[in-house]
Amino acid sequence: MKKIIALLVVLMMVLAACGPGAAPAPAPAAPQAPAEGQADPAPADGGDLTFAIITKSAGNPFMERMASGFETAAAAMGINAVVQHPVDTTAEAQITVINSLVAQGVDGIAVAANDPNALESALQAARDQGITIVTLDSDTAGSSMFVNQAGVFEVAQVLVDSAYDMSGGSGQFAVLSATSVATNQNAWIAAMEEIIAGDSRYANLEWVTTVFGDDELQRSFDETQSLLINFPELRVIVAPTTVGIMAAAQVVMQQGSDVLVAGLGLPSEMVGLVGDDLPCPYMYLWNPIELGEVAAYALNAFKQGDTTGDVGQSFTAPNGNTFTVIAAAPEVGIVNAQIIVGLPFRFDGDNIAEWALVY
Amino acid sequence: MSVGLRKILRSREFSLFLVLVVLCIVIQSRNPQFLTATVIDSILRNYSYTILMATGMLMVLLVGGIDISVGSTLALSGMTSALLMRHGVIESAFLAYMVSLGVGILCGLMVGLVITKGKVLPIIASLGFMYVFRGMTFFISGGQWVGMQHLLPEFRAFSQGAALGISNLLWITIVVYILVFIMLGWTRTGRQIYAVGSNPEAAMVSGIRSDNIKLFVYAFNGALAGISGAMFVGFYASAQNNSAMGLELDIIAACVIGGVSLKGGQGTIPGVLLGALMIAVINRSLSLTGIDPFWQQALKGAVILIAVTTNILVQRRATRLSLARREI
Repeated sequence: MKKIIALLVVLMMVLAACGPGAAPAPAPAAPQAPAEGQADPAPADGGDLTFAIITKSAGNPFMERMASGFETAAAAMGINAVVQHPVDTTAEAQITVINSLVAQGVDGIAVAANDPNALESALQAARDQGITIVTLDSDTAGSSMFVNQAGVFEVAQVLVDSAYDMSGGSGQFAVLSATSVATNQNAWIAAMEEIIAGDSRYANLEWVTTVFGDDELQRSFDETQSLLINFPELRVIVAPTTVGIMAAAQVVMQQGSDVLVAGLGLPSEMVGLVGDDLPCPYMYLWNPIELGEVAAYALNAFKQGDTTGDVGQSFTAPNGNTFTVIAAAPEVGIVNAQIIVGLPFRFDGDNIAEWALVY
Repeated sequence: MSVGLRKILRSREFSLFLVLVVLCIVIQSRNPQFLTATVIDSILRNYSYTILMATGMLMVLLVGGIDISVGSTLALSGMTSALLMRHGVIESAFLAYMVSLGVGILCGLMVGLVITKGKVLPIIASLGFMYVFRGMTFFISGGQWVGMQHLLPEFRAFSQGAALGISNLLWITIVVYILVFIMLGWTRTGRQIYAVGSNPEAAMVSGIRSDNIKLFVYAFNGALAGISGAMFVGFYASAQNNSAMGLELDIIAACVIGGVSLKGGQGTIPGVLLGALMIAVINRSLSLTGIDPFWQQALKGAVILIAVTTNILVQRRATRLSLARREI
């Protein structure tokens, strides 16, 4: 009898695992499997160019938007675009895709790397065939250029400006970060300090403290509540982390405080918290569509000879923006010379609902 | 002095209570805002599920076991009901809580079955399930979060609301404490839990089915982790894959501070309550003391060690005194 019960329980657990999993989990099957790409060689005939983009995985809305931006920009330049999703989120799956694209003889590949090192030899083999490689979203060794959606200075600038704007130009603000060793956050915080010190416009802003919520909800709640208690004059909390901004906005809303929350947040997590009369009037994150577009521009700039990817060069894209190649930043995982897409994208009450469907 | 009062003053719980009072005085001296209704309310609110889950862990430790999978159970059960809400399957707060409770019971039963039927060491079995349940959380959610927009407003309102000035989450915790207190002290199952942990051979000889008791205890522990999953998701208005990672350590620490023996058979509900309050106060208040964040973790460890050491010393003295009395 006991064994039967035990069996039943195990069976129920297995069913429980499969049941809800089937619905929400994005189907791992890629809309465009690598094999399909092979059937669609679109070889470059004459001046016709073909660029490919390799995403991190299928079913990721951020990656889908990035690919669509890439396709749109390529089409506008009269270039064929191929979108390739690896079968899963691994470097191995991406290597398979790279090899098949090399066999097809594409002219350029933009890849969002799933591993900082593992793609190097496959990418080198592609470059040996005359294929231009750029990375976007996540860098990897073996690329000619990294298209960076989050320039450290640009992120810090919008964060400082948020604090300036939301506080009305003067008063106290605090930073709620992730962990004290988080590379990105620390780079942004250091750049914020530089910006504030270097511009008298921010002289009336008082940066009272930086606290660490460890990207945990419980810790971030505690830290936000302590900020509200310790600094009754506080006007703005800047949280350059998606967990932190959500927790801070939740606390502010639940306590009915009039402190405002700024920072970097995921739109789908922040619906109901971002907008006029809500704790967070606006926030920022990268725009995946623009990221994909700039990657296509960069590949074309290489092909047209507008750049060789050396630091200090600049080129103007068809949309009129000029991009300047700047040095790598290995301390934040950027191993190649890079271009910065632009300022982070602003989400507010008018567009949050629409973007919440994206990511 | 009456015998009852003397008994209380000499008890481990009382020494723990004194440590807690001293801790509160120290924090109060560093930040006069500490002992205010707002802060006390936030301590009990933010840590209601930690305090709640400590009772489950108490029972597991009493039978000589341990369960380090509870943080993952919390995440899995919370994510399950959050996903079902997103897909419109669950349409009431009550149902959301019940689904999380059910998932928690199943998780606890799994752990219990592997420990009792598979004869696997509790720490290894629950270590395995810690990863299994966490992995399942990632799997069913597809690595995504469930945001506030997808959670039922009624569910959030209940989890963030209060009745009679006490938060609803704390009400759940209070009810469970009373139930477990009665069960451990005055029911057959409760006494058998102590028996199984303090002397397994004697328990077996006296006809107690220790495997059934253990299975019940793990299922109960899972149930509390499950209901905490719903509390967590409702309170923070977000279901995340990596929720409550490392929570099991806080809970075990709460029990140990509260005088629960890791060898089984020893531990009380008042002790665990004080231990859990201690953990909640430490976690919540370090950020109020104005101490450098880099020092806070070390300080937390030091306070835990001080509490446990005091507790052990007092216990040793009490044992010696009672032995001495017996010799007379």
